[in-house]
Amino acid sequence: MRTNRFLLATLLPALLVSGAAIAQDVPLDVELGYRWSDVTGNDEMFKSQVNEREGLQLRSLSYGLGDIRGTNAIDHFRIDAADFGIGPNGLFRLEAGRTGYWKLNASYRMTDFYSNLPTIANPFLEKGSLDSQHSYDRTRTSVDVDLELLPGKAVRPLVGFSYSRYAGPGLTTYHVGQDEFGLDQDLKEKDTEYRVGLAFDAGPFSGQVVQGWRSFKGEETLKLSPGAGAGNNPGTILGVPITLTSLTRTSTTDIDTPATSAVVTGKLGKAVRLTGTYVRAKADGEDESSENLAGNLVSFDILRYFKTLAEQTSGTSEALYWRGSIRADIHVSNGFDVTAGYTRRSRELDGYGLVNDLYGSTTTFSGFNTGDVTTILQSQTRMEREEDIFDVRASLKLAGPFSLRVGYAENQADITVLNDPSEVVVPGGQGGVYDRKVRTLDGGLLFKLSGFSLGVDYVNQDADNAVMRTDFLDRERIRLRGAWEPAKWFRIGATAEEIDTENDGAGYGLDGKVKTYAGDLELGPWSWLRVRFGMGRFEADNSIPYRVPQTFQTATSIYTETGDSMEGGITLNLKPFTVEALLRHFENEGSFPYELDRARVRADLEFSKLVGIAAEWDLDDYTEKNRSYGSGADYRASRYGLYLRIHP
Amino acid sequence: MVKRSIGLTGLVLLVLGVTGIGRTALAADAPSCGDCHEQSASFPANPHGRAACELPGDAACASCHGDGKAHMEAGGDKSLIRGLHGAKGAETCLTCHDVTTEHTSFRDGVHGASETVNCLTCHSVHTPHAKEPNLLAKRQTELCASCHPGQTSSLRSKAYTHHLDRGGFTCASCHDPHGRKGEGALKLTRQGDTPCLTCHNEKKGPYVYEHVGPTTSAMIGGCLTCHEPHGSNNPKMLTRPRIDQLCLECHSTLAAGALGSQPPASHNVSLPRWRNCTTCHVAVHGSNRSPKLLK
Repeated sequence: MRTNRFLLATLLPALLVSGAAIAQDVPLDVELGYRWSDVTGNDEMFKSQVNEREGLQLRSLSYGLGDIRGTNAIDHFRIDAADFGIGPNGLFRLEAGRTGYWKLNASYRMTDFYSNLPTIANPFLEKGSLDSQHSYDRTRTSVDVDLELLPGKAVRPLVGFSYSRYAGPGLTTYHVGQDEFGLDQDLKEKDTEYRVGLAFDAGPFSGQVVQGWRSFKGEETLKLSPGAGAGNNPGTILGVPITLTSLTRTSTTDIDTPATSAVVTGKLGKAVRLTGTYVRAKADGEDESSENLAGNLVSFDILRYFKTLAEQTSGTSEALYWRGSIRADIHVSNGFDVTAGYTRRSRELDGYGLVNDLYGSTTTFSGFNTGDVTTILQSQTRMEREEDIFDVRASLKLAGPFSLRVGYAENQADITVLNDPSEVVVPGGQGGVYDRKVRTLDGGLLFKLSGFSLGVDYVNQDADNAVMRTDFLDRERIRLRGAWEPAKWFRIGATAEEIDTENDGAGYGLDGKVKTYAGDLELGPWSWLRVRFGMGRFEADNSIPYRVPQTFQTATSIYTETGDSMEGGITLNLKPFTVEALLRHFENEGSFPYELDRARVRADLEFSKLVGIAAEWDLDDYTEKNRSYGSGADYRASRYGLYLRIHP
Repeated sequence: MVKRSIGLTGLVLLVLGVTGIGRTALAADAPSCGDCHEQSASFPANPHGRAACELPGDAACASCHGDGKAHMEAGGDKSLIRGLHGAKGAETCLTCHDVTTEHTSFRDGVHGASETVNCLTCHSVHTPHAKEPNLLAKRQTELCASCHPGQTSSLRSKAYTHHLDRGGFTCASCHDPHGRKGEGALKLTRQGDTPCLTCHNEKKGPYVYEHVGPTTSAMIGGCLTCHEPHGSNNPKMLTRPRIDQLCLECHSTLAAGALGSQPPASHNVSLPRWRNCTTCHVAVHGSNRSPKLLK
């Protein structure tokens, strides 16, 4: 019902204005039909990657009236929709307004999230199980509405509303009593934001102030999955088989975040523009949870066996974020612009948690009955991060076909992490004071003449310190782009990019290289024919040493990928018949080798100026190579869509 | 499924009803430029036409193209009328569209006007694509792909990816094409967070026990530390195929002074049970209930 309510709410303005509609700017074009799905192989993997299921679908809709007369209420509106219905993604968008009086932008999105991946949270993968212990089948719906009154006038009130709901069932796990157990999960989360503000133009000054109020409410219910009471670990702990006979947990989260943003721009003559910005958001979160479980379990925290556990947790978190910036944009002369800015941003987080556990029917490891045992864990966390960012850039259109950009930026971050002792797993590395300065020098040269364009971009970054082990000390990126379009029917383009990342400091040894090459050729020798070829290569080679937990020895984590893509497409426009076909092959070697073939064919047939049909075929053929679980994750999925097309 | 079908049917019926009510267009006062230029007939329905609707006669055209008198007298000599092509032509657009904020600048942004990339590279004032907003000349993704084929090819080719061009998801869902260099090219949330949190807002926190912060700076653990948004070869769009590999690259005490703890020796990652860190540490995005992110 919620879906219908949102649809009606967003469509209502369109319905109201249509009675006054006169001039049609975007002709109505509706495609509605049904999609069939035929999956062989691992359907779970298909749904995790693509998730295009069978059902009714509004493939596309567009309609707009650009010059409405006969009413003073509205002079234009436009609606667009894409892939609405069975999903997995759907969008409905509305733009409407009357020039000088009001302007409305609204959207409704629906996204299905599905995940059941063999290699995620699956300790039984090597025993042949391809089902993850973490899976979900959820839907997110979101609405955004922004209304500006008196657009173009000196003072403009702004009103906005955003809503997002994320809900659905899932599976998760819980580590308790020295084993892990599968849990059924039900999640409902709502995020709502109201906004009011004012935009203004006063002589050389313009700007806007917006105050928003965000409210997040989450509710999670968990219970032991049927048949999961034996846990993941088939062995015993201290000679005792660990089992769970029941578990329930309910938890709620409330977060309120008032947020203020202000931006003011002032013009100093024709050449200089100063912009000041301030954003402040203070989030206050409260979390409560209640958990009850029973079984045969072991706790090393209290050095006892126990039969039941009743746990109450409460937590509060406060995060204050603010950002202030000042920027000058200087239009030095025609073709020469300079911009310089300074930003300070800060985030402070204070967390407080209280965990109250009541262990029931406890016995010591030597067998003494010790009754019920209560433990209370109180913890406080704090994190502060302050960043000072300075940047200056210049762009210069040189004589003739050249243009040049250069820039320099500095980012100084100061971070303090005060963790609670309860968070510490192995002493060291979980808290402290860190600072890091990153200097960035970048430049770009562009050239364009007679349909030929060439560009080179270079970025060099160096840092004085690493906060995390995967932070770089040196990073270099170079990118080349070229294109030649001597005529409208011929275009060839290519790009090559290389990113080198290094941290050769003691204990780091980070070395990463990413290379990307891509090119395409488009030919349209006749108005009825368009052909496209594309190729790409994605290479990654990363290594970093790490300490193996169980041996404390040093090993190297190596990740590589070499992905080659090839694609070809053809469009035949033989009115009233049009066909578009695309074939794409991707093959990855390295740490996770696989092949993925994708094909897509779409044919349109116009019966008249009013009605036509469209047929679509989509294919995804996924094959993993060299996996320990063989071909179990592979799938081949065809989707067939048949759509009625109406475009009066 | 049933709810969605009912909603979908309602949507279509309403829109079809809407169009049935539409009436014949009234022609606007055609400027004399329209004697040769057919596009002036549809100009009143164009956003620029609406903005210039109070201007008399040819003044609407002249507001961008300059006085066309000499051009007309010369029988349509193109050199005598102002075009909007190239970097020079973009100056005309910037006369009105000179949006400047902390993150956005039509003039100084990453796509600020040059001979190679300028307003008309992506926009078409008079013949925009019918199904695209903001007077875009072509499909959004097609425009971006013409210069950024690596990113679009990765999104379209790899196994784990955001579904480009499905359900209205485009490059501009996360990127601001008029943004400034660096994080300015991202569409930050209203609270200044990374655009990932626009959709994945439940991961925004704040949490009592944070793992990573909702930061754009990549100075200390953001989304991109573990995820690759432009399409990945690894499940969950992760940067590594194995969870323990991903975790242990940061969680090691090899480098003194780096943030990231070492798992205890009981975590024997040679065994499948311990190799899936998230089987126990389920709350990897942060927790309010467990200091060790167990729930």
